[in-house]
Amino acid sequence: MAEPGPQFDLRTLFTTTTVGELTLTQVPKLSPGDTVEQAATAMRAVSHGCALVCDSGKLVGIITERDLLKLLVAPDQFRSPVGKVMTSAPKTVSATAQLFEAVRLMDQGGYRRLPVVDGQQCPVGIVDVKSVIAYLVEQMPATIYNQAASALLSVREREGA
Amino acid sequence: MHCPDCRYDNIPGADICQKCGKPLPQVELSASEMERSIMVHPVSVLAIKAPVSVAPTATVRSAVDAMIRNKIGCVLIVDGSALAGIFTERDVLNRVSPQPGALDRPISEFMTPSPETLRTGDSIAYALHSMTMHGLRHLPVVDANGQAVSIVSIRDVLRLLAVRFADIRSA
Repeated sequence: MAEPGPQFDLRTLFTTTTVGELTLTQVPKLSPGDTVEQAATAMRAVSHGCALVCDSGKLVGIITERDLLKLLVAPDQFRSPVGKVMTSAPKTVSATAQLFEAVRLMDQGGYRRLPVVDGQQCPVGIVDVKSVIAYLVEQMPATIYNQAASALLSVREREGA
Repeated sequence: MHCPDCRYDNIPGADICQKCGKPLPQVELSASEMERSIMVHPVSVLAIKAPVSVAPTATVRSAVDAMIRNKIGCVLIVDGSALAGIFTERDVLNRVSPQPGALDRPISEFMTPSPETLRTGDSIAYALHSMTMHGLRHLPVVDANGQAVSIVSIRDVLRLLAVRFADIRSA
């Protein structure tokens, strides 16, 4: 009889993986006195949709591309200090927290991303939906990339035809 | 099982696509319940949203207003009944925020034309593949006539997996 294949249990994976085991995304850090325009420029420079606002190295807020979208259609908001328009004291996780906790917080709050902080509230990166999905996909390459092989192959063939 | 190549709807258990002859991805018996599930279930089982669309001549401002009003991260640009483009929060950041005068320009100048799409019968595994490969958060789902019928977001997929397979809502 064939050996059973490796079983993939998502709850087990989420509870045995720590947030720090994922590739945490590095995002721009700003001071509360920086303008919204500076925030937008910093986010564009790394093509990432959020920036963390820190005071003396400690996380005090977050500003996202969603905030920019709303500020853009409000008059003269781009010269405001980010400290005025950011989300203050955002929900955070520690790098040693279970991934389960991060995903649960994202689901509960409808957050796309969470800042990851150390014991002193200093940010070490962010964990987001994309990095969780990227991690999951890495755990089941056959399931995901088998779909790819055939599609990619046919694209090459069509181009050569 | 829909052929990932020509999208033909094959009978379950087929090894090769009946229409184009390409090998079909096999649902391994050794795969976990979750893996089997995302390979056989089409994206239409996700609680996906009907798309919000605007015409190519609509202003960027009206598209942004629609995104705010509907609490969504992207709008589709539809010309007649054909999908012409997608416009996302990221486009607002990268293309609109450097030049606020852009708000009164037509959306067609700032959208991503001919976006990646899914077909209604594509599996969730295929959606995940496409999103990861192209680094996309949203994929429009089009029907056989090329008309956009819904949008799948990467959050929808994570939510489905986390709720269904990790029981995330019971601590």
